[in-house]
Amino acid sequence: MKHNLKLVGTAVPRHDARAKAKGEQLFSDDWTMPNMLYGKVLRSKYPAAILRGIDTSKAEALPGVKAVLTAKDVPHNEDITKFGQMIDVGGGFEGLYKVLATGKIRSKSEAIALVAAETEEIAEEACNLIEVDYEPTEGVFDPREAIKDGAYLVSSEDNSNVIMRTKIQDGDVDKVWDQCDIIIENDYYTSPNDHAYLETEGGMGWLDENGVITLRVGSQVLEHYRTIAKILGVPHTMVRNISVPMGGGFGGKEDITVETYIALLVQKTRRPVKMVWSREESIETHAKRHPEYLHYKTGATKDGKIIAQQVSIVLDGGSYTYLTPWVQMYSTYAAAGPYKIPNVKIESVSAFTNNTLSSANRGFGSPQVNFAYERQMDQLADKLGISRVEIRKRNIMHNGDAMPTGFIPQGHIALEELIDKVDKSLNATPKPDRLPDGRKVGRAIAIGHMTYGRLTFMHDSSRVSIRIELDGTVTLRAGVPDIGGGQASVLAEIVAEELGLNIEDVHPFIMDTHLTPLCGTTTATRQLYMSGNAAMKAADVMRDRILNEASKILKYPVESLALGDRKVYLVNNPTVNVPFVTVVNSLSNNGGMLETIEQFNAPFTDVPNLKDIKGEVLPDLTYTCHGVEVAVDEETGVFEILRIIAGIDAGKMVNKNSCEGQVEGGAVYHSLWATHEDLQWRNGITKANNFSTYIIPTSVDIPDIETIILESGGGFGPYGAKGVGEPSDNSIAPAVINAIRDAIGTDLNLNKMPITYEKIMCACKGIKID
Amino acid sequence: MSDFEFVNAPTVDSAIEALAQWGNKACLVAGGTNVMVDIRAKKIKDGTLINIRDIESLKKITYTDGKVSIGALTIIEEIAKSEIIKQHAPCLFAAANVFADPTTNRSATIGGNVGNASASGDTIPPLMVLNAIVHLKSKRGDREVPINEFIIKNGVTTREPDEMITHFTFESQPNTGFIKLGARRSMTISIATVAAYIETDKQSGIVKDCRIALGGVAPKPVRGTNAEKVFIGNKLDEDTFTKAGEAVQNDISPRSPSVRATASYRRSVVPVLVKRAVKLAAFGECE
Amino acid sequence: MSNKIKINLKVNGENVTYEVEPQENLLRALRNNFNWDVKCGCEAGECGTCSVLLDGKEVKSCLTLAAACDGHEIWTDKGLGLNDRLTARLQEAFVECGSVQCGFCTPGMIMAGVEYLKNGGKADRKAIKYAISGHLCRCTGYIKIVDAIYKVAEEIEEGALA
Repeated sequence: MKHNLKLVGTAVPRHDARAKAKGEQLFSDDWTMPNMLYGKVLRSKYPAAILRGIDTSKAEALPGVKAVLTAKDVPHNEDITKFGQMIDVGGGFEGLYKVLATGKIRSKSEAIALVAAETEEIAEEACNLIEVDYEPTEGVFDPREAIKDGAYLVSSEDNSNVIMRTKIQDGDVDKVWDQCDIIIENDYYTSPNDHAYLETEGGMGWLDENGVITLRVGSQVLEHYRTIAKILGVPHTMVRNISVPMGGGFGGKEDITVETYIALLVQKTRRPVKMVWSREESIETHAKRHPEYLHYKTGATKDGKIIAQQVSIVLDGGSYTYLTPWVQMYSTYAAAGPYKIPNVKIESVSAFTNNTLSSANRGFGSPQVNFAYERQMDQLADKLGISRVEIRKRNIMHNGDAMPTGFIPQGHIALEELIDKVDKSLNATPKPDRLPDGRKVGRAIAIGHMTYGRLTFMHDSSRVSIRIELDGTVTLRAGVPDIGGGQASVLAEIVAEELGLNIEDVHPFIMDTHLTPLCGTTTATRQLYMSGNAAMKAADVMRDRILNEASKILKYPVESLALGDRKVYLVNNPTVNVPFVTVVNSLSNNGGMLETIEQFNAPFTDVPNLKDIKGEVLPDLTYTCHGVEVAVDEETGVFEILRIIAGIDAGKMVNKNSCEGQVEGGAVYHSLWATHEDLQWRNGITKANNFSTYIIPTSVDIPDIETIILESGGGFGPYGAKGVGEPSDNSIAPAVINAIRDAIGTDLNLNKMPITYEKIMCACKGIKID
Repeated sequence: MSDFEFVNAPTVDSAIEALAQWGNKACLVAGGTNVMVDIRAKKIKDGTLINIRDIESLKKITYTDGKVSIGALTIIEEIAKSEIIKQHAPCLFAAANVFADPTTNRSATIGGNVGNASASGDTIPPLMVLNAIVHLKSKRGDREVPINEFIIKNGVTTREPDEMITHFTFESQPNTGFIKLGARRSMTISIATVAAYIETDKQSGIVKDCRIALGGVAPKPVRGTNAEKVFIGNKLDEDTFTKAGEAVQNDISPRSPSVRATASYRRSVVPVLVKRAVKLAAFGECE
Repeated sequence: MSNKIKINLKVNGENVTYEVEPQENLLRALRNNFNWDVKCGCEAGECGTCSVLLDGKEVKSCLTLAAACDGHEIWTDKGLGLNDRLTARLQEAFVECGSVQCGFCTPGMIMAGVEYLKNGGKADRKAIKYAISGHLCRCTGYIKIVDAIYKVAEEIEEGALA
C-alpha cells in the first residue's frame, strides 16, 4: 500500500458528476425502443381480502392491449426471496417471494395482474377493466395484535403471523434490578418512513437477438436476475440486467421492484416493455422502514453506571417476509446501544400485518433502537442529576469491549473523542434560554453505532476486474450498483491511486449482470469495504506485474521502484523512470496479461443460533455522535433546527466530498423523521402518498451542517476506511428530540413518532396526548 | 382522442369570447399550478382549456389615489417583490413571501389562487381583510363582487361560467398583518393562516376597527367576526387576546379527519395566530 | 382520429414543432421529444426535478400546459450548459463542490441556481437556500448544492465571470 496518497483523501471529482450536472446522465426512464409497450400493475383494492376470481376478458379485448397476466400465467409464481447471498440460511430467514396474488391478499400493494399495452393510457384503462372478485376480510394492522392467539392470519401459506423470534443476552438482568438505584422504563414507537428518492422505480426490458431477456432496471441487487430467471422458468444465463445508476436507493430499490413484471411481459409479448412507477405508486407500494414498538428498561447505579438493559421489540414486517429477519437481527444486535453493560436481555419478535411491506431503509433496524436507547440515556441523566455528556462517557464502549453477543469489535471505537469534539463545538458559546423572538432554545447530543458489511454468516464476497489499455488508461469493470453515493467512482479512485495514474485515466464500466464481475449488493454499507478491497487487490496484482516488467526495463530491483505521475520511477532517484504506458506495452508484447479479476472475502462465520445469538455476526461498526440545537415555539409546538453538528469516525475519507456528502445527507435524511415523516397509515391505506402530504426536509428546513469527521484508520475498508452511508443517519433523530426536550423541560409526548407540533405544544402545557 | 380541447386567448377580448362560446366546459388556465395538478388527479376530466397566461394587460400592479389594483394574472413572485404591495397591503405582501416556493411562485397567479377558492388559499384571507373587490368580465359586461361574497365553499365561487377575473382592487391598508403555519418552512400547504386589519386610537390604544380572516380552518376562508367583536372597543392586551381566542372558536370549523393536522391542533393554534397577526398589523412585529 | 395540436416553439435554441394533446403538460411534451435531462420526480409540482426556463424564467414544467408554450422559448439544463457561460460555470461548480450525488435533482437545481444568479442573487447562503426551496434533494442534504451556487455568486461579485 502506498503511503503518500495523491488522490485518496482529496476532493477529487467523481467520474460521473460532470455528465449528471450537464444533463447527459441517462436514468431508468431515459430510454426508449421502437415497438415498445407500456407495462402497468393492477394493485389490490383492499389491504386484506381473499381473491376469489379474476376476469380479464374485457381488458384483453381493449384495442391496444397486448398482454394481461395473472398468477396462473406466471411459470413459477413463487420462490424464496434472495438478496445476493451465497448461501441459504434457512430457519425462516428467507421468506416467500410471490409475484402475483393468489389466495389471501396481504396488503393494498399486492399485485393482482399485469398489463402491457401500446400506450400508458390504454394500459391504465385496461387495468380498470379487469374484474376482480374480492372477499374483503378484517385484516390486522398492529403487529402486537398480530402475534396474539386467534389473530387474523395474514398469509394463506403460514399458520402464524410470527416471522421470527430472536434474542441476545448477556449476564442476567433479573438478578440485578434490585441493585439499581434508578430504573427508567418506557415504551417507544418508531414510524415507517419512505425513502423518497427523487427517481421512482422503473425501467425497460426487451428480448435480445439470442432470446435473452434483457432488463435495464436500476437495482441495488443485481443478483435478482437469478430469481427472475427462476420465475420465468429459464436458465440464469438467459436473464440479464444491464442496469443503470439510480436516482437514489437508500434500500428502497433493494427488493425486486419492477424487474419481474417487466420480464414476464417481455416474455409474453416478445416486445420491449417499459414500466415506470408514479410517485403515488412508489410511496404506496414499495417497502418501508420497519415500524418498531420498543420497550426499554434501563437500570443504573447512582454513579451513573448502567448495569442492566432490558429491551423488547415488536417489528411490523408488513405483508411478506423479505428482509424482516435481517433488519430484526440488526435491531437486536444494536439495541443495547454502544455501551458497556454487564447484564443485557434483548428479545425481538417480528410479525406479518396487512400494512405495506417493511424491508430495507438506510440504517436497517439500527436507527429505530438508536432512537429509543438515546432517549433513555437523557432521561437517565436527568433523573440522576448527571450531565447528559457525562452519563454517556461513563458507559460507552472502548477498544477491547465486547458487544452483548460476546464479539469484540476489532475496528476502532472513537466514541469518547466524538463526544468530546461534538460537545465542545455545540457548547462553544453558552446556551441562551430564549432567542430574542421568545422561542425556547435546547441543545442535545446523541451517539450511535451501526455496522458496515453484511451479516458474516452470509459469506459475503466481491469481485472487481481491471484491464489496462494499451494507451495506459484503465478499464475497470464492476457490477457495483451505483445509487448516487459514488460507489463506482471510489473504485476508480482507488485503482488510479494504486497505479499512480490520474483519476480520469480510470473509467468504470458498471452494473451488467453478465458482462461485469458481480460486486455483491449495494446494501449494508458494504461497497467501499468489499468492492473497495477487491479493487485494491486487483490493482495490487496489476501493480506487481507492472513493477516486475519495469524492473527488467530499468534494471533495478522491484522493491526500489514505485508508481506515480503515470510513470514507474526509482524511489531514490525519480529522474530514473519509464512511462507507465511503455511498461504496459512491453508487458503485453512479452505475453503478460493486462487484465485481472480479484475477489475479496469478508470474514465467514457459521449461522448462529438465531434464538440466542452469540459471537460475531457483523464485521465491524461505525460510531457517530450528533449535536443539535433547536428553537421551540411553545405556543404552537413549531420547532426550528438551528444547528447540526454531525460527528463520525470514517476511518479514512477516501473521497473527501463523497464522505462529507454522506455525513451531511445522512443527517438531513433523518432530521425530520421523528416529527414530520408520517405516511398516515389507516388500516392498511397510505393517506400521505405524495410529496405534498409526505413531508421531507426542504433546503430551508435544515441549517448548515458542521461535520466532524475523524479518520482513525481503524476500519477494514481500503486505507482503514469504515463505511459511512448508513451510520450517517444514526443518532440524529434522538439528538433532535432530546434537544426539543432540553428546550421545553419535559419528556411528555416525546417517545412515540410522529412527534408532531401538536404533541410538542401539548407537552409544553403539561398535557399528555400519546 | 383526448377529452380536452385547447384554445389560446392572448387578449381579454379573445378570452371572454372563448368563455362565451364554451361556457360550462371552459377551464381557464393561467400559471397551471392548480389546473395541471387537477388534470393529473382526474379531478378535471374534460373541457376546453383556455390559455390566458399571455394576457399582459392583466399583469399590472398599480396604485392611484389611495387605491391599489392588482391584475389577476400577476404572478405571486411579482407581488412578493412589489413596493406598492409592501407599503399598502403588508398582509398580502407577507402572504406572497410565504406562498408555495420561489419556483412555483413564478407560475402561480393571484387570480388562479382566488379562482381556485381553496380553503387554504394563502392570498384569500389577506384580500378579505383588505375588503378587496373582485372584478369580473364577460361578454355580457363587467361585474364587481366583494371578496367576502365571492367564495361560496371550497372550490366554488360566484363566478359565472362565462366570466373571468380581471383584477382586484382595495384601499391602501398599511395596518394589516398575516401569519402562516405550515408543516415545514417552504413548499407547504397551510395548516392555518390568519390575516388581520387593525385600527387603534393613538391616544388610548383602544381598537376602533378590526377585520380578521382565517384560512385552512373551515370549509372556506372565513371572517373571524366573533373575534372582531372582542377586539373592537378594547385594548390589545393579554386579556383581550385570550377572550378573542375563545371567541374565534365559534368562527371556525376545522376539518376532521384531515391529512395535514388535527382539528384539535388547529383550534389550539388559531388563537395564537390571531394574536400574532393582530400584533403584526398593529405594531409591525409580533413578539 | 386525434385532436392533438401542433405547437411551434424554441427549445434549447432550436425551432421545433411538437405534437401534444390539449391537456398535456410541458414535462411530458419535452420528454416525449427526447429532452431527457428534464426529470419526472412527482409530476405534481412538489419536487422541482422538472424545472426549465420558460421565456427566461425558471418554472416547473409539470405545472405548465404544453399547448400554451406555442410561440415561446424554453431552455433546459443540457441546452443551457452548451450555450450559456454562466450555466456552464455553475455546472462545473457543482462538480467541484461535490454537489452531485445521485444526480436526479441536479438539472432542476441548476435551473434554480441559474435563475438566482441571473437575477442578481448574492453570495448569501440564506437567500440561496430559499431560492432552491422548491426543489427536493434526498441525497446531499442541500449543503454542497448551496456551496456551488455560493461559489459562483462570489465569482460574479468579484467580476470573474464578466
